[in-house]
Order: sequence, then C-alpha cells, then structure tokens
Amino acid sequence: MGNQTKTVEERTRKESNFRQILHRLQKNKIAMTGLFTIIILIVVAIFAPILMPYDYTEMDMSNMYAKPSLSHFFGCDDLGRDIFSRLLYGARASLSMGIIATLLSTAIGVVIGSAVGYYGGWIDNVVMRVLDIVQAIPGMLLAIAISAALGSGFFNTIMALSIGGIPMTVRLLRGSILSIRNQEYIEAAEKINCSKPRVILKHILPNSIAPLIVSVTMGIGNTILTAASLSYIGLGIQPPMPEWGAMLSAGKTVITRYPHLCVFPGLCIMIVVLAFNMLGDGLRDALDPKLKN
Amino acid sequence: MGRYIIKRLLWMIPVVLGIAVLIFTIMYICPGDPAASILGIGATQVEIAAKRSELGLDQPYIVQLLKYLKQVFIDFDLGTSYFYGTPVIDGIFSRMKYTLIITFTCMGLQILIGTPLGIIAATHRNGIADRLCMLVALIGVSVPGFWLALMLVVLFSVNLGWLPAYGVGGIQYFIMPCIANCLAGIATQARQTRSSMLEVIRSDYITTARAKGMSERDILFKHALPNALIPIITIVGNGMGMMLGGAVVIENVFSIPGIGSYMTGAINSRDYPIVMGGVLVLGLLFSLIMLLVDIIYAFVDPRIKARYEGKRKGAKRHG
Amino acid sequence: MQTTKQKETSFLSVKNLSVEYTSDDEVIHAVNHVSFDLQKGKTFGLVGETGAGKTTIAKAILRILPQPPARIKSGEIFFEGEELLGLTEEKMRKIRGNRISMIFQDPMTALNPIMRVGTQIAEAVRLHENCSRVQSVEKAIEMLEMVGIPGERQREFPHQFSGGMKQRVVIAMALACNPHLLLADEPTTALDVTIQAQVLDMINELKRKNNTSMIMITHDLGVVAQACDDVAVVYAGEIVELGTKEQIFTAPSHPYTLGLFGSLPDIHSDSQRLYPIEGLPPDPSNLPQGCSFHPRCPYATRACGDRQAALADLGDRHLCRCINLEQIQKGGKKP
Repeated sequence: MGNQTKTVEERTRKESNFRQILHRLQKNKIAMTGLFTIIILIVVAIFAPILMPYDYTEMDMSNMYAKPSLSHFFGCDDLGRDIFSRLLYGARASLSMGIIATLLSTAIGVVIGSAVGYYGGWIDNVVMRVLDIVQAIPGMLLAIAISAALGSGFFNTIMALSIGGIPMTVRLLRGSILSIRNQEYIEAAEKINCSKPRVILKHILPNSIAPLIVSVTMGIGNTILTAASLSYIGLGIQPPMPEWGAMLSAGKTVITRYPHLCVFPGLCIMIVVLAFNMLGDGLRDALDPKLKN
Repeated sequence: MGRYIIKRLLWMIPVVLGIAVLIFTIMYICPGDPAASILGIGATQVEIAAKRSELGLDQPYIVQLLKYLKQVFIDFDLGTSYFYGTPVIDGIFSRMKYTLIITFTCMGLQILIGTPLGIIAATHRNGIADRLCMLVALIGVSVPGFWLALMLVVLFSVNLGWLPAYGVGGIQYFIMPCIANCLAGIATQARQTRSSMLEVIRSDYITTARAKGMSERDILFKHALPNALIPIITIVGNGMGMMLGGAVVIENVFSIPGIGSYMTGAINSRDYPIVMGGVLVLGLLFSLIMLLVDIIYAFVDPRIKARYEGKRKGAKRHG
Repeated sequence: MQTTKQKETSFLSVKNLSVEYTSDDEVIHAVNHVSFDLQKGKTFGLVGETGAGKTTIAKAILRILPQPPARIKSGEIFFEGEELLGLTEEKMRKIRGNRISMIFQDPMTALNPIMRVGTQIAEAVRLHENCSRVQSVEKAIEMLEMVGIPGERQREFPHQFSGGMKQRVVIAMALACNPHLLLADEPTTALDVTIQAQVLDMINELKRKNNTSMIMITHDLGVVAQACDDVAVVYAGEIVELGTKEQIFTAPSHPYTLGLFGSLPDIHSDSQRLYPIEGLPPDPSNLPQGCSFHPRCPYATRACGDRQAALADLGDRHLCRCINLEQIQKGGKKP
C-alpha cells in the first residue's frame, strides 16, 4: 500500500463522491422541483421582452384596476398597465439583483476569508473585530441604511445588498482554512519547497466548496427577499421599473378594493424564494458527509 | 464567570463605537447635501454654503466623525430631522415601545412554537410529522412577511372584519402584525432546532446513555435536549435581529407608530438623520441582546465557563 | 451441536448471528453466521481490522444497534440462560448497564459534555438500584476512586479530564452496577501508548477482582496477548479462526491470522521491511464469492472462490475456516 495506490484510491473516491452527490440530489424531488422552477424563471427573465403580452410601461387608463381576465391574466394596476407583463419583466430585476449581489458578496468574502485565514496574526484579529461590528447591525437594517444613503436604483441596491452577506462568507472560509491548517500544517512543514499557498489552496477548495454552494443558494433566496422589502419601503428599485416589492407597495393603498394588485407580486416573490430554498436544502442534504455512512 | 462577563462587557465598548462610526461613514458618503435639504428648494448657493459651514460640513472626515461621536454618546443627540426640525432621539424614544412590543412578542412566539416543532420533527425523522413540519417551515422562510401581512389584512379585516387593519390599541391591533412578522422566525427556529437535535442524537454519548439502560424518553429529555438547545440560544439571538429588521417593514403595513414607520416615512422625504438614527438605536439594541445571549450561553455551557475560569487546584489534566 | 448441559454452563453463547445494514438500497452484510461461547470469568478477544464487524457483534448482544438501518437477520444469544434477542425492550433495558455493560472506543465523545461526571455515573446506579440520590453519588465517588480518580472530581465536567482519565470515567460508569459481562470495544485504541498499558492493567485488575467476564474487541495483537484468554479472529463479518490465546499465538492457522502475525515487526530479526497483507478489506455490500479472504490470500486455490469452508476443528477445539489447511501447514508458515 504505497503512496501511489493511495492517491489513485483518493482520486477514484473523489470522483465517485461527486457522482454520489449528484445522484443523491437527483433523487430529492423537492430539490429537483426547486431547480426546475429556477431554470424556468431564468428563462422567463431572459426572454421577458418577448414573452410579455403587453409592454410593461403601456398604460391604458380605461383598464385601471381591471380584474384578472383572459386578456389581462393578472389584471391591471393603477395606471392600467398589465400586471402579468410587469411581473415577467420584474423577474429580471429580482433574479439579477439576487444573483449578482450574492455572488459579489461571496467573492469578496472568499478573498478576505482566505487572506485572513492564511495570514492569521493581527490581520485576523482586526478583520474579525470589524466583522463583529458589521454583524452587530441586523442585515435588513444595514441594507436600509446603505440603500437610503446611496438612493434607489439597480447598482445602488446591489451594493446595499452585498455588504451584509460578506461577514458570513468570510467566517465560512476562515473556518475551513483554520481546520485544514491544523491538519495539513505538519505535512506542509515537510514539503516546505512545495509552495504552501498552493498546497493549502488545493486542499481548502474541496473542503469549503460544499458549504459555499449551499450558502450561495440560500443567500440568493434571502437577498431577493431583502431586495423586495427594500423596494417595498421606497428604496431598492422604484417605478416605472417593475419590481415585485415596489408593485406590492403601490397596490397597498387600494388593497381593500383591488387585492389582485398585491396578491400576484407577492406570490411571485414567494415562489422564487421557495425555489432557491428548496434547492439549497437539497444541496445541503446531498453534500452532507455524515449521510455517506 | 465574572471575568467572562467583564471581558464581554468591555468588548461592547468598541462595538458600540464601531456601529456609530459605521453609521456615520454611511451617512458621510451619502450623496446629496444636508444643507440644501434643510434649507429646501429655492435656497441660494450662498445660503447653502453658509449653512454648510454652520453645520461643520466643510471640515475633514475625522473631525466630523469625532463631533458625531461626541454628539451621540455624550450629548445623547441623534441629530435633528430635516423635515420636522425636531430632535430625532425624541421621535425614536417616544415610538420605541410599539416596536419592542412587536419584537418581543414575536420572539416569544418563535421560541414557544418553533422549538417544539423542531423537536417533534427530529424525533420522528423521515416520518409524516417530520415531512409536514419541514414543508411548512420551508414555506415559512420563503414567504415575504409584508406580503403575508397584506394577505392577512385582506382576509381578516376586509373579508371577515374580525381584526383592525391599522393603528394601535388593544391586543387585536397586534395579532396580525405579530403573526406576519414571526412566521419566518418560527420556521427558522423549527429548522435549526431539528438539525441541532439530529446532530445530537447521532452523538456517542447518546449511545453510552442507551448502553446504560436509559429509556428513549429519558435520553431525549436528560441528554439530547439540553445539548441540542445550547446552540439554539445563538439562533434565538440572531432571530431578534431578523425581527427588528422585519418590524420596520411590518409597522409600515399596519401603520403602527413605531420606530419602523418613523424610519420608512423618513425615507420618502430623504430625512437621513431619522433613518440613520433609527438604524443606530436598533443596532445598539441588537448588540445588547447579543451580549445577553453570550452571557446566557456562558452560564449554560460549562465548557465556555471553564475557558475563563482561573486555574483550579488539581483540576488540570493529568495523564 | 451443543447439548443442553453445555448450554446451561455456558455463560454467554452466541449462535449463528447475522446482522445486515440497509442503506440507500444497498445491503451491507456486517456480521455473517457468527457463533462463539464465553466462559464465566474469562476474557474473549475479537480480533480483526476496522470494519470487520466486531463492534456490530457487541452492539447486537446489547441490542443497541440502530434498528432502521441495521437488522438482526438471524441468530440467538443466550446469556445466563436467557435468550436476549427475544426479550422485550423493557426487560433488555434492565440488563443494559446492569448485567451487561459496554465501553466504547472514543472516550472524547462518550460522555455528555454538559453533565457532571459524577452525575453521569450516579445516573447509571440509580437506573438499576433502588437507592437515594445521595447514595448514588456516594457510589459514583467510590467508583471513581476505584479507577484511580480522586472522588472530589465527580463535580467536574468531562472537558476537564484528559483522554485517559475520561476513559477511566467511562469504565467506572460501566462497572458501577457490577456487571457480569463487560463489552470493551477497543478501549485503548484512542489513547497514548503509555496510557494504554495503564488502562489495560486497570481493566484486568477490576475484572479479576469482580470476576467479570469480558469481550475485548481490538485490532491490536499486543492487547490480545495481554488481556485475553480465548480469541476469535474476525474477517468480513465472519469468524475465520477460534481458539485459546496460546493456540492462536503458537499455531496460527488461517491465512489471515498468519498475515496478521506476519505483519508484526519482529524484534529479534533484522528485517528491513514490514509485510502487510496485500490488498484491501472487501466491500461489505459486495462480498467475494466463496471465502471472503481468498482475493488477498497467498494460498488461495480455485476451489476457494467456489464455496465457503465450514469451521474445522484442528484439535482441542481450535477451529479454523479454511479448506487448504494441510497444504499451508506443509508448506511452512511465512510466505
């Protein structure tokens, strides 16, 4: 049982691991439903301009507050605009904000977390203290503060949304690195000429990729929810750009007479977030090493 | 133990200062000119410039920062509303109680409903109770609170007429806001409790207890639950943060005159002192709660206590 | 095969025990038709590699196997006259910790981290003996002293003890109700070598004093030499060789046993290399046809892949499961 056979074993074990994980994920019906829904939503978002029966700015005052019908599936809003079309187009805003903001905060978090975990020392202390302070403000409130400062708009909102997610990713990466360092450090000391950062990087990534994937997936769901909340209170994205949260806010004033202005946008938010959470749960179960036994 | 509390209390000081610095910095980089906002439209450049130097807005960042810190922590002054001209801190404290009522009620509901749900799900793993609880919990964390609030209003106020749609007064005014705000929290609590329980149930010391001849019920209550609930304490603390953030939006839906609607009203009028003051106060409140959580944690988990206790005679490891 | 007379004198008698695990549509044959007897007051060693099924056998005796994935497919376990697998759960609980106790491999995780050590021992006492809380704590202190831990430390928590001391606490807890049978699952594997010797000595001493019978699970032949009277060599869930310690050590017969001894460094010879057994343990969900060991066996013949041998008596109740015994003995021992 020399070293050669061991790495071949390890490699085949890793490959079969990956296949095992995929297999487990595929068996999870809820996760597959979530994935399927997300794919449909992404397609809808990309092709929204083609799929919309009406233009999302097209006003028709004669149809103000029209109830759902065959010509307007979800009815019309206060300016006679077709709600269905606005919902389709609004998918773009929600999905893109959610995905971009989450990926951005994850990327920044990975960089900071890796640097901090690797170098350690006083940098580690300082950064962790700063993160403690950032996390001392609840995520939603921090997003409100930054969003209020920067104003509404697509990129401003992405900035506001991404800051809150950074500390969590940093801790995730840092934790992974610290646990690896304690194990491989001894081996690394022997292989001194094999550049340490590369050795550590080769071992960190497999270990932390699993929780990262789960974190990103659940994070997208949460971010979409926060984005909608921001738009609801007047930050985030505002009309005429359709955003589901903003549409809810507009519909609130007439909710007693025309509830359909509020029902459908909220339903959309829920379905999207649910889909990401379903997938995230499924990923977490599939990647859970304890289940391998 | 005392040492730990003191250490933790001392740590509060930089955190509190840090929050204020963070809030101030956000305000500082905020585009738009406070002087112009205060003076309103029609003010001339000269007037604006004069107002700026009156407010000290032309001084370097550090000077303004230190002024702000002094203002907040020594004078207890959170600034003046651009719109109303009244001190922000008065506005906040007069509205504090409604926000706290909603937040603490929601926390209570989260703990009392969410925890047992999680335990039931974990002990009936993969059974019907488990799948049902977890499905409901999954939906619960995905529903937007403010939308749920609106739907509740449609159902219970408009159609059934049972509950009032806005305002404050007796309990009936708080039922729907609390339900809407706490659903996500209950769901999260159930999910986290379940996963903590499942992990504990897998532990070796549970097998040891079984090998001693303990009944499953005794194992659950004497060994599994106490261990599983410790990490949940932190979850509850974080839940408070979610509640505080959610309350801001919920108050808006139900026109409850709490800190939240104070802030959301200010957003529309670009009244930054109110927004930032509100975030600062709620942030400080949250830090206080996390401090409490850490202290409770230390009381409950003997491993934490030990880390801060001094050397006890003969207690250190022998071979 | 056994007469009724033998059954009565046998302290523990395991007959034809088979256990399987089902996970994800895979069936894992963890224990296959295992039979052995244990005399009162003796120590029986179960030797084999990790994953050979030894722990499963012990947990099956105590009936603490997690029943959804695990399933006792067949077998009977007679203990002091009672058939354990047929007892109700309630009756079995009265036996666990009381007449049969178990100590586990990893002391670091075997104790409840947020409960005081004395409380955990006292709990075991109160479960089976009718006594007050105070009395049970006194007994706990007594047990701690017996394993060499000062009685005052009963108020401390597990993290305040080192690995070796934790294991002693576990032993104290297992012996608190004076069990007739102690199942020790690799009790020293997780400990430092120096501590290992101490703990083993202590176990032997206590066992001698109370005439406790013991099943010692280990992969370490040194532990077998020190502690066991009879030995069973387990491979892929089966017993491949069974005999007294002397028989196994002086006349190892099964190729696997030979391989185990052969891979030990010899302090007298001048060898440069160790001779591990070639190959890897088999996948328990996909055991080889015929003899489970034959893919790795240097003496394997074609017949080995066809059928599994029965346990043959080499004389004096030294049993061995191999169809090629004569050839092996003629050809000398080490490959």
